[in-house]
Amino acid sequence: MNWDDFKGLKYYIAYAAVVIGFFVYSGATGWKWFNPTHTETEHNSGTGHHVGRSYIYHK
Amino acid sequence: MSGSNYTLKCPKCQAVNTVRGKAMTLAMTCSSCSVYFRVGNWDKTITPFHSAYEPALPLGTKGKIDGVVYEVMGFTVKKEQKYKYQWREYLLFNPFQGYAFLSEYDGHWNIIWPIENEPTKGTTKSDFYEGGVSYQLFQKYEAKVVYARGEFFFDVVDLTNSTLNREYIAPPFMYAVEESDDSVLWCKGEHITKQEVASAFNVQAKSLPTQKGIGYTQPVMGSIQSSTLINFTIFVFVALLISQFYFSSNAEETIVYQGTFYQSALGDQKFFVTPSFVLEGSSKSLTIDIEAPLQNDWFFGEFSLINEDNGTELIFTKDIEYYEGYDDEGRWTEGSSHGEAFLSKIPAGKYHINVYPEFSTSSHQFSLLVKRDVATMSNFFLAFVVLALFPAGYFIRKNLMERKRWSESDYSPYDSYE
Repeated sequence: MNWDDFKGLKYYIAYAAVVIGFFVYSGATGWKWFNPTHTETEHNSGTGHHVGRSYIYHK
Repeated sequence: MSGSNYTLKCPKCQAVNTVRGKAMTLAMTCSSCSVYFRVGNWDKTITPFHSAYEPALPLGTKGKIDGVVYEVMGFTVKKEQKYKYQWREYLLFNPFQGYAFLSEYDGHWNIIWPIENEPTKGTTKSDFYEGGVSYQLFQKYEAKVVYARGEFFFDVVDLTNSTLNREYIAPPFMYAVEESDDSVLWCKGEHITKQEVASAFNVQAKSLPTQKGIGYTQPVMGSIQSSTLINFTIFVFVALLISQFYFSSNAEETIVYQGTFYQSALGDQKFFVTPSFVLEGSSKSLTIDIEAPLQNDWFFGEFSLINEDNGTELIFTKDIEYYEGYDDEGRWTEGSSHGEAFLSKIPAGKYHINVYPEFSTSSHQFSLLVKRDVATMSNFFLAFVVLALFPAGYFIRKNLMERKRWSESDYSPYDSYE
């Protein structure tokens, strides 16, 4: 095996680098790719305990 | 070698033929009457080749292969004697490198050079090793020339008729040996693509024969070597494993909140509010473990993780069910009294959680355990599968192609498995 052998693998090497890079980024940021916990995000102008959807639900 | 005034007179029609190979040419066909003759020895039993075979690479065409400029000197069509298939061979010549062959069958090409040293013998008659590569016997045949045109440095008709040929392959390479009673000629060959042939001889690729099936030396996928792919895949998996080990062993799993909630404490409220907790550092995961003492019961909660710094609210739900009982086969259980919600990429900040519970008739409490920076294994398994797709696809394709390739051979290693 020599370096020329890797020329035929250049697309797989690039593909593997992207996957490993994405895996490392996800591990570092705590990103689970397929997460069974489905979430919704809401942005509210206020702060405190009674904001956004929680506030609407509560009142 | 063209442009010479070296000539030979046809022994049949007396036409004068210009000989590009000069004194090296030992046999040729007459450009006028197409009769084939050896220089100074015309075998009249060989009928003129009047068949309408047209070489895809015209005689006299020059092409550069591996940095060597070859000229097309002769063209033959040969027919295998057992299965009656035909292929085409071009005799190429370079005054410094000598001669070579370009063979074509079903649109698949090989460039073949004579070699002086016989390859190392193998352990059996059907294989041998050369350069650490195992070459397998692919075909053994006798052939006849059904058409010839141009010049040859040997009596191609007599040589072809009198030799037994064996070809060994390790795609994209091959070895061929021609054996007669008094001679042995070894050649080494390599697959060359139709586009490379067209480019080398400056002809249109579409003017070359159309490819059918898989060539017997055609590589599976470009220039990929199986051993290199295996080694690199192992390297990638080890890198993945080390990365996962790093994340698992360095996950802090800090408990940022832990508490138990009772239905009786709800009063007029419809939800619980946890105390505020602070998440530090960069974005990390957050898990919320929910435990409810259930007995043939369920618990449902809607949760809001609220960022007190910017008001962003992350809403999710969790349903927990646990049932048990006895039937004819004994005790059975279904579900769990424990559930986990996983939240990805939660940035640093001050948070609290609002919980909107729905209790059943007998379920009256639940506990929360909130942890920061919890490692997950699922990404590892997914990445493993994603990374395995390419090598798996390669080897599946390789297996299919090899079976198809060897289906053309009497010496298929796959026959013993079927």
